[in-house]
Amino acid sequence: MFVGSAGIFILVTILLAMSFRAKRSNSSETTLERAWIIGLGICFTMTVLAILLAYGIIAGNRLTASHSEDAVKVSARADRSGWTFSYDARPGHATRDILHIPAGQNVTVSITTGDVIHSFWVPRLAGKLDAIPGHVNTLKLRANEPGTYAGRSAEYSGPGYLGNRFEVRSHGADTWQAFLQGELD
Amino acid sequence: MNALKLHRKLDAIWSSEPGWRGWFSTVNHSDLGRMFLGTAFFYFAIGGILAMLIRAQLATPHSAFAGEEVYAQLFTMHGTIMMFLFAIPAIEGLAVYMIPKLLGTRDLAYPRLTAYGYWCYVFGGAMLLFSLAAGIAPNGGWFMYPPLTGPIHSPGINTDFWLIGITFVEISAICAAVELTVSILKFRAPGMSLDKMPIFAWYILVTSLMILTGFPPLILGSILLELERAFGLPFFQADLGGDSLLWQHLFWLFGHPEVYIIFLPAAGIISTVLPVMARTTLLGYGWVVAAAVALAFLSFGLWVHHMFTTGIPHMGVAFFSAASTLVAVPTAVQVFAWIGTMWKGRPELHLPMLHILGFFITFVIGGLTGVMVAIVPFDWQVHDTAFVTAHLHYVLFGGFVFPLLAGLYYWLPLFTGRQRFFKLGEIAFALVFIGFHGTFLAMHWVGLLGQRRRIYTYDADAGWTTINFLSSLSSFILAIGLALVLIDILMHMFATVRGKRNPWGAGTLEWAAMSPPPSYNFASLPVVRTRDPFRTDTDLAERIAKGEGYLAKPNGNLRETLTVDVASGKPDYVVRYSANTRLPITLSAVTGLFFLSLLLKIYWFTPVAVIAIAIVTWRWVWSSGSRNDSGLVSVAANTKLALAETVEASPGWWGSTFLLVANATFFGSLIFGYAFLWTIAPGWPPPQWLEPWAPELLAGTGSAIAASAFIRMAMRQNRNGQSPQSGCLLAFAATIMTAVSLCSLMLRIPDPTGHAYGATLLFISGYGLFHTLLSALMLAFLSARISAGFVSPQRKAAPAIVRLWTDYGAATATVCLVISHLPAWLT
Amino acid sequence: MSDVIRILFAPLIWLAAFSLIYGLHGLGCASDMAKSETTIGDNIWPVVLILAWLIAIGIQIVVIIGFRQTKPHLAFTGQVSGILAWTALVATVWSLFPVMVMTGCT
Repeated sequence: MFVGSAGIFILVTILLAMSFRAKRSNSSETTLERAWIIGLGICFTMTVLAILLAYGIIAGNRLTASHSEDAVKVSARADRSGWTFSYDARPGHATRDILHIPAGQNVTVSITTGDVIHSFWVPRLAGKLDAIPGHVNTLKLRANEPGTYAGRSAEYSGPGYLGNRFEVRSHGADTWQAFLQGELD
Repeated sequence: MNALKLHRKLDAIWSSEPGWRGWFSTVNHSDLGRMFLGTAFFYFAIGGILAMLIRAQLATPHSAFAGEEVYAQLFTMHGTIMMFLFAIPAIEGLAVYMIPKLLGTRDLAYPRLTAYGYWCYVFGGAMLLFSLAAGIAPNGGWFMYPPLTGPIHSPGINTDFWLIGITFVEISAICAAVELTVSILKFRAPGMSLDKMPIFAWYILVTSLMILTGFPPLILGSILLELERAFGLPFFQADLGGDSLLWQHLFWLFGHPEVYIIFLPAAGIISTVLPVMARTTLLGYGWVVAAAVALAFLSFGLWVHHMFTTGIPHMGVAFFSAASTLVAVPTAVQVFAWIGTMWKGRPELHLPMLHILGFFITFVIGGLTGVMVAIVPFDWQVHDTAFVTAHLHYVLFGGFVFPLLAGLYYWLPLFTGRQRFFKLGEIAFALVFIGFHGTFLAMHWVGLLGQRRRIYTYDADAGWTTINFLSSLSSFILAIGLALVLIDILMHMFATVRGKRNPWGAGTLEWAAMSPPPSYNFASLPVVRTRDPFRTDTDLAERIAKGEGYLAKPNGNLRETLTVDVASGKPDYVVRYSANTRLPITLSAVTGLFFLSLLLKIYWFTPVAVIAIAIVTWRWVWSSGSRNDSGLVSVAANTKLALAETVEASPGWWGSTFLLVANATFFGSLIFGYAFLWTIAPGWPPPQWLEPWAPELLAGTGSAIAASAFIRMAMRQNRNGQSPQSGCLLAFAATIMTAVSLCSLMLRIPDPTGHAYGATLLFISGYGLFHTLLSALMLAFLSARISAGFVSPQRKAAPAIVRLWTDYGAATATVCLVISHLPAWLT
Repeated sequence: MSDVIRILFAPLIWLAAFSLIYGLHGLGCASDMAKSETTIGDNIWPVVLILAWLIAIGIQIVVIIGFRQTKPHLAFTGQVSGILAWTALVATVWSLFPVMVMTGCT
């Protein structure tokens, strides 16, 4: 995408620069209109956009949550001081500012909020999704390797916004089982 | 009569009061345009200083410069001031000043309204400025998302300043939009058909229509949020049947068109200036007009793309993603038409051209990053990071500030009649260009590294320190560049020598007026036969000054101009303006009291202010028109035209039509909000629906229809030479009956503070009641005018206007009554 | 004025169709008519959306044909309204194309 953008930018710059050179043959107004407006303005632009949009829709489809049965289901509830996570597989247990997930499995996060709008964002795992009062949004994410991933809220929520962070810990099969059995908080 | 004598006579008729007193009573568009521009640039400076403070805070990690609360006020007010108090008013100012001159006429359609809009802007802006100075400025981000800005999480007065101040300022945008629309459609030089209009006028026409349809959703949103804050009507509270997403819809329904409302006039400047700089004409005039219209429409199909991360269904997101990419096509058509124009001509590197080149480079980058964020997966990553902030500054600074500076430097010789002397402008341009790109390229970068927008500080180990410092350093270079521009312009105004007329060799009519232009613009209105009449016809300016055109003979001390047929430009009728008056500033001061009473929660005073507004408005409208029939007015050797008061499609009728377009958009947004809450919001259905009551419904709708019928009867009576008084009074009585029905409805609504359903219903019926009472007031006014002898079979303008408003009031009242009764019957 | 209306006509229809189909989609999702993620057959809603889309395209084509058969006051208006009628047709096809490739309310 960056290469394409740079290419278009360079094209425009060259066309601009060339308009300043000494003058050339006199083409008629209609020829110019056809070349500049229909050729470059419409046909060229539409082609580029069609490719981009197709890519966007396909990639977007891949990223959005589908309710696959095997996914691990967790919930995230935001408030102005942090996040509370709960787990379908371990009812009654909640963690504060740390989300535990198994590595190498699909996870769906049901996101909502207790007060104002926040946004759930773990840059290395998935795009962001808002937490909106009265609504539950679901996000699909997957961490292939065990480890710790930084997460943060990405919608301005007033004082305390800067410190509104959390952490995603992805576990290997053993520690995940340990977490589910309550041997790990 | 020679040119000098004619000038003296016309100047005596048209000029404002001398000295500072003239500022408060002027209704002249050149004065008001300058005042608009001056005030807008004052706010640009304030907004710029706020930006400097923001950058100073972010220059180093853990800066102790501004605390979190102050920082929140800084970025909120920076965005708010730049958008609402600089960009839009600057456009209005430029258009108010330029449009009559470009169109070859003497003033805008409603001079008093121009002044009223200006003073609303000044007073509303002053409210926000006061909040900033007192340290109680809005602090929830410039798009004010509830529930953060709701009564629970922001109990202070900060948010009220935004909601009330901005709504007050918005009045000026609506006023300007109505009058620019009507001016461009009707107030042109004889012979100027649609295809001979200067391209700038097309852009301003499109922009004005966008303001009329784009601003009402925001005004609605602001009113709803203020009602929630002040009276606990839970429009945006999820636990009481409201939905904070409704605000996002309403805000972005305005917010995205707003970007193009700012960009289109700037594009109009480029389309005007660039061909002159390239010594040729614009390539593909028709294509460019079509592209501007297409852009305006497409921009209304984009709003949801600001909400891609809110979890909106995937297909909905795809619609808006597709429309967002499509909007690049008309933009590209314009960009390539401009480059093609440069290829067609011989571009010269004057100062305005430098700014246009600055525009090209900056705007193309902004457009490309814009296409990137239109792609959903990418947006999910960069949304709400510094990348988006940088992108929008590329679009707005590139797409607005550079073209505005190009236009300013292009028209400066016209404003002042002087020529630039120093090379200061070129140095300023270089600093602005380097400073801008340094600041915001760095912000793109740090945004991709994950820096969120609106954070007031960051850790030293985040790896952002150097980039942020570079950005801050560049922003100070940018500020110095802009300060130099200001110095350059001030020197130009006060210190340089007189220049020659039309230094760029342009072909449009503004250059055929004297520079600086006199109060009346043109001593006589030229007949236009080509798109740039002044290019081929070089002695046009002298002939205009000598009075060889329309309306060359001053008629008493009347300010006269003429209107034309919309499409063909054939002369239509003569308009007489009112002279200098303090009514506009009085009315806006009274309007200010109304807003102030809401801000300070002195609610007992609110009805007093409303009555005062009605009284001043009554006087305003009363003061025009005449009690005697008069014949045709001679406008040229063998052309006579009728007076405006003798036609049904008078300027007042045109203005009312477009104001009602804006009003209908408001009502449409309201109905959308109702449907949205009903279908999307959690917590529906409400605990209790309104009990349907057939007599109320029938009496209300029946009397509404009767009012429309009776005002038509009054017009028929007037046409047939009978007194229209009986029809008018019957219509009045019917309107009162409708109002009673609506009151009865409002009293029966289930607890409006308990559920958003009741709140919405209360607001909808309140809207209906307001318009019904407005119709009643207008009918009372019409009746008084009939008694005083202002209406005759020949003088038929007033009843036609009142009919429009009566019909609108009747229609909205009917819709209100029906949709209030419907749900209970459906469920 | 008829010239100005002619210029605005086709894009207005696009805007109406776009809002209407987006609204229909939202309504369908809200009222459970399209909640279940099923294929055509079990679920009428995608068909309704596609039909609405085809009708919108049809109207735009009719507008283009209609414009060809009537002459405005100015040749210029004919040119601009012609370009915009085609723009509106392309916009209808392009911006509402997702009704063909996507289903459901997720």
